Amino acid sequence: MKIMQKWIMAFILAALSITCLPHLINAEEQALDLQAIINEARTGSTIILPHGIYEGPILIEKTIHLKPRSGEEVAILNTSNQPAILIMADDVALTGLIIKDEQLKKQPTVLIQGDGVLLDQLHIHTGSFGIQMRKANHGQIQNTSIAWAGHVPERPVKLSDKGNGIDLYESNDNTFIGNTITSMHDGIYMENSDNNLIEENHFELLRYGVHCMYTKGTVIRNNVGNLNITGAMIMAARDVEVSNNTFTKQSENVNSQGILLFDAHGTSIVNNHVEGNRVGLYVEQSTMNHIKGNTMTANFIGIQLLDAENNAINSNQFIGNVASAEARNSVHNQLEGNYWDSFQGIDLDGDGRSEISYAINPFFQSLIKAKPGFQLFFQSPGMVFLEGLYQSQRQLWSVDASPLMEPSDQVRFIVPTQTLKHSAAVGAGLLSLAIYLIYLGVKRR
Amino acid sequence: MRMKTINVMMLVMLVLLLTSACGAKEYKPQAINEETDKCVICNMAVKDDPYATQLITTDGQSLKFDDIGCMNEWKVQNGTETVGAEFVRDHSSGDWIKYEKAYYAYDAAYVTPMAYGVIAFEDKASAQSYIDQQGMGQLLSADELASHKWEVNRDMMDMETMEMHNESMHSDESKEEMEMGHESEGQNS
Amino acid sequence: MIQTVHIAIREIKLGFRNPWAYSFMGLFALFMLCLLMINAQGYVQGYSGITGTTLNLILYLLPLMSLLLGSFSLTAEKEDGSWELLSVYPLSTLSFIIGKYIGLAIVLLVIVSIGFGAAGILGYVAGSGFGLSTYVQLLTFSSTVALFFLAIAILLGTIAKNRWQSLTIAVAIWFFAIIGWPPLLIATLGFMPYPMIKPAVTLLTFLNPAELSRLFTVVKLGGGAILGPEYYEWIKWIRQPGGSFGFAAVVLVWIGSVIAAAQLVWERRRLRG
Repeated sequence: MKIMQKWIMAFILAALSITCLPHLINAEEQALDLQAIINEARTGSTIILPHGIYEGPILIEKTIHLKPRSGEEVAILNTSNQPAILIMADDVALTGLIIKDEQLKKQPTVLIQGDGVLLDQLHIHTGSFGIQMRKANHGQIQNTSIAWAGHVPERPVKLSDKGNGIDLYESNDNTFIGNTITSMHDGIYMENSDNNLIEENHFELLRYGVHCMYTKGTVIRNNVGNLNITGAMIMAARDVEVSNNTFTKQSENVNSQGILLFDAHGTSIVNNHVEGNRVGLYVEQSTMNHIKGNTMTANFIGIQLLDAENNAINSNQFIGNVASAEARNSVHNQLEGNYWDSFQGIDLDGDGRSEISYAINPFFQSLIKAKPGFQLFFQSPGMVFLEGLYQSQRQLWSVDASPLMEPSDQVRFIVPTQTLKHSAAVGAGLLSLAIYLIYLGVKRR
Repeated sequence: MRMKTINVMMLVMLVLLLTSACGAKEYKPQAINEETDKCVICNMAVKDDPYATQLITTDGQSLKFDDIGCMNEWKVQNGTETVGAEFVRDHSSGDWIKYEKAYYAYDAAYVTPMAYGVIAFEDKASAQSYIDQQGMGQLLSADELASHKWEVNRDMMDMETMEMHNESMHSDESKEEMEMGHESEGQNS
Repeated sequence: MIQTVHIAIREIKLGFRNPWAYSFMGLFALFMLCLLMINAQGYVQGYSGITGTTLNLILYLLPLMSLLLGSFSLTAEKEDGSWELLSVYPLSTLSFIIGKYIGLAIVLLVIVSIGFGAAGILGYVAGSGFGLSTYVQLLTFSSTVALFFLAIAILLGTIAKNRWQSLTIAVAIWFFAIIGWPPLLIATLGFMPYPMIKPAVTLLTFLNPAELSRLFTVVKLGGGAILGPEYYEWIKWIRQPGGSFGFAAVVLVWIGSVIAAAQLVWERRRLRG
């Protein structure tokens, strides 16, 4: 412990000299930094760091636990183009550190290559990838924030400048809970990585909140996504669970949607709330998925099915969407018992379900596939009229055989409910002005 | 009102005439717009990086793809009759080059957006030097690419059986190698 | 100038004694209130189901109202002989036409205001209505649609010989601009080579005020993304504050040239007649 203190004292002195004379740092002085403390520490020990700014890059090759002294702020500053922290050992734990790594570079800010690594309450400011996991299994990242902090000189930042918040490759059985990822490329990107659990995270201003590529067994639960291009992008995936998530306001980009399934099979999309997106749920070339109990409200398009077959779509609610559903070339889907507010059914036997089925007209989607320029006519009066005229090959349409007559439970809307007072005030003004004008008009002089 | 419609018709005709007059077909690649372009096949946003490819149909529609493999998939689905020109980007410079004139490096472990592992180069030498530098991969001409199998590095269809194979075969060593690279650099500093 | 004012005041007085104006007013107010009834969402902001429906219902109703009120007012002048009386006086055709336009515009805006005013107040009472910015957007939309089609109505009333002729043409214009527009464009532009479709649709959109106002409002309500990547640059431009000024300029130029055309035709007939 004495040695520890000595090192820490030395470090504080070094830190002081660094802050005072930033231009005079050389390799020898850097040797007196956190790296040296770690090198000195015994495997399995816990290193408690006092307040200060520590210089990166850091290499961790043995099992240690790094955390700040209670209540103190410890920051790791990396200006090299190496990872700020590279973890090669198993069961390493990092707690409560602030990591500033704002250089634009290829290397991630934190690179994990060991199993069972725990990252807790980190604050990562990155100009690259936040955390990369390579063949890292059974790890846990929780309560951590990752935000883009890179600065590109002389031009606006492009999406391709940014790295992913958390990026997995061949890393299985990891858990991500309670993290907040903002303004990065993808929030959590998983490739060739199975059985990862993503729970209660917050994704904002990203390209894709969660992005699965060639994965199976991923669980995405209770997350919140807001203002991303797409909330959950489930691509080339098997057995994914997406449940109880909330994705809102993903409507800015011409390609945005709440949840997208592409080449996804056997996934379950359950009890999600998808509000105010361009497309709530976008399903393309996907089969055998269970889409149940979701609420799609106030999206431009509630659900869009393209070449999607054999999916079960039940007990969902489509309320306040500009177009409830669009479909093209999607057959053998089992649609039943959904509530479509744009559809007026008739319930003759009083079981709460309409005896008339709700058929999704494929005209618009087929038209814009061939001629994208006509997308301008989306839900225009003439297009609605034209869709009504188009009835060919009805047997190939996606059809809800027994739509619900009433929404199944109280619909919640998340978008801020201000009062209607202001529009009422404007309305009252208009009304009195109008009546006054009418009075002037009819008054005989 | 009738006059207006006639005027409109004439204007449209004029525009039509103009375009057909200068209709000598020369296909030019469009720049990637990250805000709007998405891969026609896989729906992913197309990034302005060298993996992006582009196919121009005979009626002038520019279709963009995030991976050469997706462009191949489009040709499988739609045939090649309507293909006017195909473009890929040189991996080092990012310049658009004709698909037929490019050289390709392939290895299942190359990381590309949709994991097809095929990367394009302007000339044979730079493709070869990339392969040498990576220490893995094979060189393909455009003709040879036509008979390429286009497997992604993890085939989901027979994932259960392929998995073992995948992990024991190619991807392991190559990934290892890249990581070793990081590691040694990491230690240097 | 003073003549224009006189004509406008006369028009307003005629307008508010016209039972047609009141039936349209009642109809429009009823439509607006029905929208509140079918709205399950409570507070509505931005482009969603109810705003989309509102846009379409306004497009069904307002253009036809404007066309009929406007063109009838002009054909009436010819039919009951009041124009012959007026033309004896040193009244310029331009001040007559502009006076008519202003007077009728005020009548139409009053109708729109009654509808929106009622919807705003009753919406507040019932707890179901539009948030302020959406409300103002829709109000702007209705007003511009009314002003656009009133200009067309003036030209129509100038050309048409009598009330029945103008009624027939008005319905034809309405059907063409509102319902027949997408089918017509799809049918005529479908044969064009791909790169021509977007410029042609863009150009033609500027010629159809209903479509132009609808698209402007959809973009301003935040729904631009649904119009697709083809029009992204337009959408981006319209979303800026500059987009509103641009739109206002287009509205002015559009209405100005239609009114000018009406004035020319009327003037020619006056000289001949």
